[in-house]
Amino acid sequence: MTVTTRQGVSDAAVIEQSWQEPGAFAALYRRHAPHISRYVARRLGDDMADDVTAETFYRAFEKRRKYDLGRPDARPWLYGIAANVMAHYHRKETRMLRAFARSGADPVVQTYGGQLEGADDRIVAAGMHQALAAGLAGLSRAHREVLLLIAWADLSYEETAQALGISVGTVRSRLHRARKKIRAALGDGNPMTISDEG
Amino acid sequence: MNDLDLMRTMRTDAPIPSQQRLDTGEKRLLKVISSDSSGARRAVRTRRRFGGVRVMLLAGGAAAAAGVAIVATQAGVSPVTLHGTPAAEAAKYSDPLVARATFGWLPRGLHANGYVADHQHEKFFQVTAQEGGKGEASVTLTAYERGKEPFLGYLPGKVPAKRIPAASINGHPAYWIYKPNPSGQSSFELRWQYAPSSWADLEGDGLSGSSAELTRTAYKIAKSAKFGDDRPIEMPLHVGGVPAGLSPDRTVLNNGAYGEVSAIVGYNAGGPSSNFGISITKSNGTIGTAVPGKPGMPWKGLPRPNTKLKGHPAYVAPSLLYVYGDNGFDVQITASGAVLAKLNKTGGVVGLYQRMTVLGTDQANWTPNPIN
Repeated sequence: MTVTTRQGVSDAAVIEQSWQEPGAFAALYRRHAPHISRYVARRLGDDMADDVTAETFYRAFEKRRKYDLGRPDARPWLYGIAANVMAHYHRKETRMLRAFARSGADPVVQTYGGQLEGADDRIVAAGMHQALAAGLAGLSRAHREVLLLIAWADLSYEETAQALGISVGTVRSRLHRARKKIRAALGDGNPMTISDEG
Repeated sequence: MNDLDLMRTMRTDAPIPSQQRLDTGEKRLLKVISSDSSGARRAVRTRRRFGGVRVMLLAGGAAAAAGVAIVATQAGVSPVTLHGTPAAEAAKYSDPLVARATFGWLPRGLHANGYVADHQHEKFFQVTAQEGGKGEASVTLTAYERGKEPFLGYLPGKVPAKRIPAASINGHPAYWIYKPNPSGQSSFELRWQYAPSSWADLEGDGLSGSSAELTRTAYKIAKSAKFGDDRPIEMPLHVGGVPAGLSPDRTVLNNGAYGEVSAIVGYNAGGPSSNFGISITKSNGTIGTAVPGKPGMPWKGLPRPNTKLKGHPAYVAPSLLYVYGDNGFDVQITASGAVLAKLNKTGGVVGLYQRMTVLGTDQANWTPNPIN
């Protein structure tokens, strides 16, 4: 496997190398764990991030021989595994979102002390997060997975389809429904301009 | 800004993991990788760290059930062969789980309750004593198959681990891989050569005591460990009709370790896409409600029954079978590739289940000869 990425050797090449040299798999961790960890922290709280990330990479390591080496970027694969791990915490996630929706206090921020990034949009949007949490809490797990892989993990439709093992058409339809519910949760008083995307 | 943009602003509230945390995570991963490239110790470590998560069985890419990790086969053995008659009459297998090492002395509250025989890469037998209930303390003794010194593994940053000098054990050379230290390191890993070309590891986790006390504990356990007893370990199942010609791959019995009673028997089926595993896990009464997605895709939970087998709710697919509550256990059989083709000649996964007996939770009924 000689495909390379902006980061140099492709994920697929790293995984293939790890078939013979298991320690090489650590390169995949260094490359993607920061993003997976932050994604998990956003969804389940900072206190869960380490264990869920660890479990994700353990499972990935065990399954590495089945990785499709034709896919140079392993992000969809890893996020798909993370989604499976986080499925155990669907109820916890929903409880957190409901608590956030009720109180307005973001439990994710609370778990690490809330060093927020500042930006004008961010400040305006912060007021909407309570409503977004309510909307997310009302989504089925399938719809929530699709929405968050796209919005928070920055996966494309195709990558989301790979991650969840569904068709791109299903991604589109689930995303459409999820966004419809999110918009409903935001209500008519949304000061933002809501426009469709993709 | 649309609703997706709003969602993305929410993402920015999530903390960026510190380098220290990432390094710790990498260290954990590397330790698992280095100590067990086949993943055999993963169940030990992950379950402890992962609290209440019930790790899902992986079967040909599909996660299907609760309790334990199942075996994935590797390439490199001769093809499966059958002899044209029901496989139960054709194959003979030796006892898959034999106690090649046993504990002597153990700290109060610990007793042997988990066993692994792994033949995937670095062949070894492993016995674990884990504290019951919510206890975190555990010790694990690993006896490697005779041969060269096992791989040492890596430290954080992919720095190869080094042998840390240690006092001999019963006159045999020893060294630490991880050493208890005064800074609060409560885990340790001690390795020694108990006979020519014969190596053992002792790992401790979550034990209380100062570094000096933990060192004494480690040595007391190591000095009293026994090797070569080779007693077959009794298991809570018997299966007839496992196709001939498979290589024993990985066998696991948890008899209270990790809070469960479960058994796994796996075989190497002769190709990277050939999986074959049988597992049973003490039932908690849960019956799944998940429905399958596309073939080969992950399940989201336990499968919803679509039939009954031997009077028990069951989910049956060509390469996967899940039965709820057979004599107190949930049963899973997975097969794919060449071994599935062979199994299909004798009734497939359902046929194998029909030739299987779950022996219940009373150890008095268990057998040391669980296969064929």
